[in-house]
Amino acid sequence: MFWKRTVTRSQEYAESIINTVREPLIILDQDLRVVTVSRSFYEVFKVKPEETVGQLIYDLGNKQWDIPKLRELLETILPQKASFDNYEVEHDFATIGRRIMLLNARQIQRVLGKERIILLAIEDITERKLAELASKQAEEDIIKLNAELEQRISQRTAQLEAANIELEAFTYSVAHDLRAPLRHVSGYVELLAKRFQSELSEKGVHYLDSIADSVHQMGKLIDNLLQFSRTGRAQMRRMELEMNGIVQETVESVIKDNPDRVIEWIVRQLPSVYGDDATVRLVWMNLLSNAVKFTRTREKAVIEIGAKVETEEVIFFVRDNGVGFEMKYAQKLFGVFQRLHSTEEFEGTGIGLANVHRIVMRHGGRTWAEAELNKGATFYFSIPHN
Amino acid sequence: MVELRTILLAEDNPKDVELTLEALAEHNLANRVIVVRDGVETLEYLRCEGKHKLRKPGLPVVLLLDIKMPRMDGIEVLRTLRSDRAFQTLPVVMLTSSREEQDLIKSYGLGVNAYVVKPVVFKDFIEAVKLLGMFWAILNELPPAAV
Repeated sequence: MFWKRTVTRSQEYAESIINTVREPLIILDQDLRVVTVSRSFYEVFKVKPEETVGQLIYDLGNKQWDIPKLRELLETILPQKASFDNYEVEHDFATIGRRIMLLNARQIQRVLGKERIILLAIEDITERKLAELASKQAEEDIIKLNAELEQRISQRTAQLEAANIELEAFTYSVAHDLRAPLRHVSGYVELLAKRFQSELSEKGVHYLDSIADSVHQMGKLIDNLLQFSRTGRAQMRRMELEMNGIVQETVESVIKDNPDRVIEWIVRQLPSVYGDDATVRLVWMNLLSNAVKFTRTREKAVIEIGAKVETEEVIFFVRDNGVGFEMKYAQKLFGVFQRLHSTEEFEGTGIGLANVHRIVMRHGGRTWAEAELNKGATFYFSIPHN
Repeated sequence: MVELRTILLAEDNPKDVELTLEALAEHNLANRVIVVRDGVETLEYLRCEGKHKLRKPGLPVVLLLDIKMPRMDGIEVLRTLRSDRAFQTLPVVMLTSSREEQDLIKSYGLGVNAYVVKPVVFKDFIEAVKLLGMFWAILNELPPAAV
């Protein structure tokens, strides 16, 4: 009596565990006939208890469990190893279609009696597998897309570079070809003025002077354009640049060009950068001679040169107490032939800052300026670390 | 009295020719200038061929050579001259419209004697031509082979 109750109890206990587990679970006897299955098994595989219990597993649901891989597992591997874990089986079920299952099995010696029973847990991982497959596909798609994008970018870059080279060549040849007729104009005007001076009225002489003056101006513009074009095409040879040394030499050269000026130079400690010596010198030359030029109306010019090290770049600046400019024109400053002052006020063609911009751009840096009319200006440029 | 010998001017543009001659005339050097209009004619003159078949033999003191010319350009002329034993040492000065880096490199690579960019402003042009004329026609000693 007692033992029967115990047996019944432990059986109830076992069945309640089986029915609690979410995954379908089958218990087979040693002949591979179904002893019991979990509730979820009926739900998942759409079979009824009366056609399940007592059946050979292979015969379940019109033999849809007659799966070669399962046979191998149950008949060959299990008798040897007493258990197997995470066997993946893919099978086409008549009732529920193609499924991928993860099988786990244990062979257990029953407490009483000699027969063995087999616990077989079946996890349907079809959805998970599909999701994995989809994410793998998506990953492959992204990699492919990235590769395509990169290829497109490098194609575009090559096209841009080619267009740029062509544009430079065009600029150069235009400037070059303009020089010849201009030289002729200058030549004939000069000859006219010299050979026929006595036949010319005062007005006639004035006209010729004006032509000569304009020719001179145009010659300068063309030469500057040629120089600008050269800056764009010049080969850059990058090396460690000792900026204080370069600035010192540039300051001396600017002073030599402006011997009559009273200028207070304040040169701060400047960090070294990695760049092209010749063109970086041109940047300093342009900025410093600009500072000197636009402080001309000051009794004493004060020009300060300094730098600030940031995480990505070094920012250099040239500050002056000159005539400055209105900030609303600031974005025009670095364009080719852009000027904010008349030629009578301050001479120049408007190529200097365009050159500065181009050189700094080629170093991967930035240029900008801050100013206030009549209160001075500060010009900035940055050079990235390495 | 130093005897002035010929200056050969290779230039296709008639205005450039006229202005160069005007500049040389300012220093009494114009009457010694022979003008040829392109690279092919330059070689014909130097080799006494074609329409220069009957000219008095002898080499100029200097060849002022424009780069951009029809038929055969200045660089090609220079290359031909330097590979010809008869003209290997002939003084050649490039007289050109602008300072094109590639032309400079090629010219010096081929052994040009000087490279001069024609100034736009005529006063500067006259000065440059004067210096050139004086230097090559009067001051410079020619290589023995060319005498």
